[in-house]
Amino acid sequence: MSINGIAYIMGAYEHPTRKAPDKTIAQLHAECAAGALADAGLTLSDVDGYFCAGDAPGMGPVSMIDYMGLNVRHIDSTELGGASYMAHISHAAQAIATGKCSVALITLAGKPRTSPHQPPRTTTPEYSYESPYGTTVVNSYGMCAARHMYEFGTTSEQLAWIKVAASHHAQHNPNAMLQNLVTVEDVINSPMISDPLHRLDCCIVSDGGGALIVTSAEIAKQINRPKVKIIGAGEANKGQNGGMLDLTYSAGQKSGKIAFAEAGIKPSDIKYASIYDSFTITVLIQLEDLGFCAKGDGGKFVMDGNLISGVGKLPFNTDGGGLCNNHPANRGGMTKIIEAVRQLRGEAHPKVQVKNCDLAIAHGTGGMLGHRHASATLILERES
Amino acid sequence: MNPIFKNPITDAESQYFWQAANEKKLYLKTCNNCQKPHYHPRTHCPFCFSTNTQWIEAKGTATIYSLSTMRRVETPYTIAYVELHEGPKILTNIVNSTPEQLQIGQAVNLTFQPSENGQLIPAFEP
Repeated sequence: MSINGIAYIMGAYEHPTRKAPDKTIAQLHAECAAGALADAGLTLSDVDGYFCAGDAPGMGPVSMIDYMGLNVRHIDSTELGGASYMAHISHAAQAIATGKCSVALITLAGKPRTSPHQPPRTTTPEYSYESPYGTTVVNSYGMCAARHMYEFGTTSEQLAWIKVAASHHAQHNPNAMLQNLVTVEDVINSPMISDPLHRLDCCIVSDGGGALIVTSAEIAKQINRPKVKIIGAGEANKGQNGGMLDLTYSAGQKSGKIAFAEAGIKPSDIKYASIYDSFTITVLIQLEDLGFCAKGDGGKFVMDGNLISGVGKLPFNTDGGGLCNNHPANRGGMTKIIEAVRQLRGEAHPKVQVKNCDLAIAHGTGGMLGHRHASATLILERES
Repeated sequence: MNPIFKNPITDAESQYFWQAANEKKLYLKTCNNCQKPHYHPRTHCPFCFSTNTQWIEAKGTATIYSLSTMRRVETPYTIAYVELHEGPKILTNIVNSTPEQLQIGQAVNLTFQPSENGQLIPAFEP
């Protein structure tokens, strides 16, 4: 049994806000839900399955279902950080396959830009051993970058090309938080945050959100929108492994393999890639792990504009990604899926739209590559 | 240039570890079932799930596996994974040094630094 061909993404919406001091997180979830439903031509009463993750306020789906006035028969609050939403799409397809729902709504929203303070999770089992040492997101990824450089000769200039490509795309996105083109020199001359990652190697912090609608094939037929078919999905985790850790690869190695096998395609078939970009190094490691190049060759792969739409072999994050466009709730998975849907529909900005875009990947990471994380991979196909 | 260590929050599983640290001892655990050492220490072996685990004292020698110096703070500090003589790589800080003196593969030795409330925290130095 497989989810390949069972369900379709028929609605997608990215909230235009990047700074929302005057809105609540629940309100942003609801605005995103309304946007995705309108995109699909559906109403709230059509929804019979609801999915959200740790960004949802209160008791997650219990709070949000009541707040929005949903009446559903399937609920899933799988929490894999920024990778949650890829998993939600897969789980929605599984629920549709087994008849548990036929119209699934997935929402994300958050305000890390205007309400940045989150209390530490002091009951996590590693907290006692790690909290004295000043762990932050950026130094966790900094250690991954330093080790990758040590083992494979990857350079800061190569990492910078990832940000350069994202900026080439973001210049065409009027909602992007950073719309200026940057050069390799701009990146490596920006202030060092935590070695070897500079300020421009880091993603932005933005408020915002997004939502997606997944439906059965039967309902998809009744909707007058291009059909984006879910053909493969994979999930995996990776951590410190009791101290036997290796920082040069991610759980994407496993989740990608599962997703490609289910889809029955190979990385070279992919026309467009949405790759989680919390930092430049995140993209580089995941591209290797997903099989777009050999382990250690990521630096050479991303150079010279190879990720720029219309220029390189693998157009990535054509909305500008988390590096330039949007990173709502510090969780980049949702916007990755939304841009993949735009590309497959032929609705990306004309300057970045990939020609004949029939196969796309959306890959997310939740948690921290240098500590412990989950990866989730989605492979999507345009149905003509 | 040493960081000011935050006080660790101790719990039922980590209490012994932090008591030992106050006696300038770094403890990890080994499993009497599969014979593999692990870190951070826990009741269930992460390799075979046996509860037949026991505390062992680390010799205190290690090499730097990876590191990153946080620059955008008042007192920059270097976080690192070091590979212990016993095998596991552990999250720590490298102290009593400048970032320019440090590199991957370098030998480092165990030392202890007080946190804000005087709890001794295991760290490493060149």
